[in-house]
Amino acid sequence: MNGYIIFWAIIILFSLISFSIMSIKMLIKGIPELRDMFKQLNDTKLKSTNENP
Amino acid sequence: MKKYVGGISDYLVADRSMGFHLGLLSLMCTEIGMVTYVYYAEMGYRAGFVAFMVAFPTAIAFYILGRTGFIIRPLMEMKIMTIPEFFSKKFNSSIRLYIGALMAIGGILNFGVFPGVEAKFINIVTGISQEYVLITMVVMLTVVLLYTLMGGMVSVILTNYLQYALLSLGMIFITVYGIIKIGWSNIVDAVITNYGEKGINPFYPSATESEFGIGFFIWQFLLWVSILVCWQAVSMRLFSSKNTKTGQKIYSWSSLMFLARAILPVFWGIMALAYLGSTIEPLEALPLLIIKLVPKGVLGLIMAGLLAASMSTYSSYLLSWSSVVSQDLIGTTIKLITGKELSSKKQLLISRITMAAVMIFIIWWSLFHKIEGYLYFYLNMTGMLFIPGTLVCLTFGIYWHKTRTTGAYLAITLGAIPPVAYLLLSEDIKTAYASEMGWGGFLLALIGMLIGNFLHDMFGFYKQKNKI
Repeated sequence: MNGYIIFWAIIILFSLISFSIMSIKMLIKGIPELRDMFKQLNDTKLKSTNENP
Repeated sequence: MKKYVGGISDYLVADRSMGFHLGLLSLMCTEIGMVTYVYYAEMGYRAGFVAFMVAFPTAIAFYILGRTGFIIRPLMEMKIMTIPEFFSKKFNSSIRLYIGALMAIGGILNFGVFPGVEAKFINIVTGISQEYVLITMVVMLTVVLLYTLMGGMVSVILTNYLQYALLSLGMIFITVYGIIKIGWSNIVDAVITNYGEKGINPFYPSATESEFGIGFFIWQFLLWVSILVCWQAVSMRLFSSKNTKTGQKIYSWSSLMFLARAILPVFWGIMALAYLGSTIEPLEALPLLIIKLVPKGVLGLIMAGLLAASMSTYSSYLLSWSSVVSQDLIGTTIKLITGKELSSKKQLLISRITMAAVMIFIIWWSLFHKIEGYLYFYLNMTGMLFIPGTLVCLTFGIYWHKTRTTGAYLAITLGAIPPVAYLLLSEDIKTAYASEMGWGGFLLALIGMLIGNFLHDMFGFYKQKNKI
């Protein structure tokens, strides 16, 4: 039973650390991607407006 | 926001412009709501450490699909917006209508319990009476509806970003603060005292007899593979990503994030067992833990995180299920009757009206429906109304060119029988045979596909022979 308890403790710790690191990374790197997304949407809209005035 | 949305493709899949980090973040936000915390915490509270087993099939399914591109790569290359679209391309419009109807029923019944569960949660944490909480939920849903109506996927992704910052902070705080305040040894003692070895060893008394043993693992793995390819809220993230490589990368890394998505809330349920004892209602374990554990000053921040998690789920689910109703049910029916495709603007209008109708329905359903058995299993089984049939049809449809329409019909129909039985049976049977009904659905769908293909070929052969 002790083996399982240690295993579960490692899993909890691993999940907590990986979740924290990845969350910070996603929030930081998400900003430029948001900007790119709006740029692409804007370009598409402009293109379709020019094609169908 | 509305200025960025020109047509239905901008509205539903953000013109396929989503990058890796944003996609991962948005997927996490969609699949983490207050209801997610509640059902995982319920499992931890009722079963102990063995409930962590629920996290592994999900993580493995994400990793395998992300690395191999199994089913998801061909789907992304087809540039579709909803899964039933695949059915009209591979089979015919009638099947698209059939699977779309099952998806809409399953998805909306699944979504329909969210407001009720969450209203109860808010009621316990804040002490506001149930009647006012429901009004609060309606207001919250209306706000979500408004911004989703305006910008579709674009506004969902943007608000997801802000909501994720709050929800991730809340998740980390509750876990760390809970361990410090309650203490690891007390948590372990509580599980051993209440459940003995059954609460710690997932293969006790044996791998086949355990509630979270082999049968559960097989069912959950199949279920999650299916969810990743045909659960509209998840697959829409895939279809919104920039390219196939980005989509696959989002799935690979989601394995890590979805492991934490289950492990942390299950652990909160176990902490509730240690901190509050075993006599409380399992679905109330988490809100009671939060109100008793978290210091008053921080409670507001945690509540903001929880509400943010809910709003992000509502917005994505509203968009997803209403897109199935508008595109696959209404759109296909109109096409079958008139023989013409609707214009992009009309599709957009129908999508927005459907969204409002779905919102009204889920508020009504959450007021009147009573859940029996594990909440997690109820959610799984409502989804399973269409999931086994869809997975089998997608797999055969993509990888076996001899797949026939009759096979698809039979796979979808037979796969829906066990979940329908689960939803109608008594609570004792539900708890005892959930896993069997779970993997049984997939087995029946597979049998249906094989028999249907065989019958189709046999009768097709005789028809041809008679003509000659």
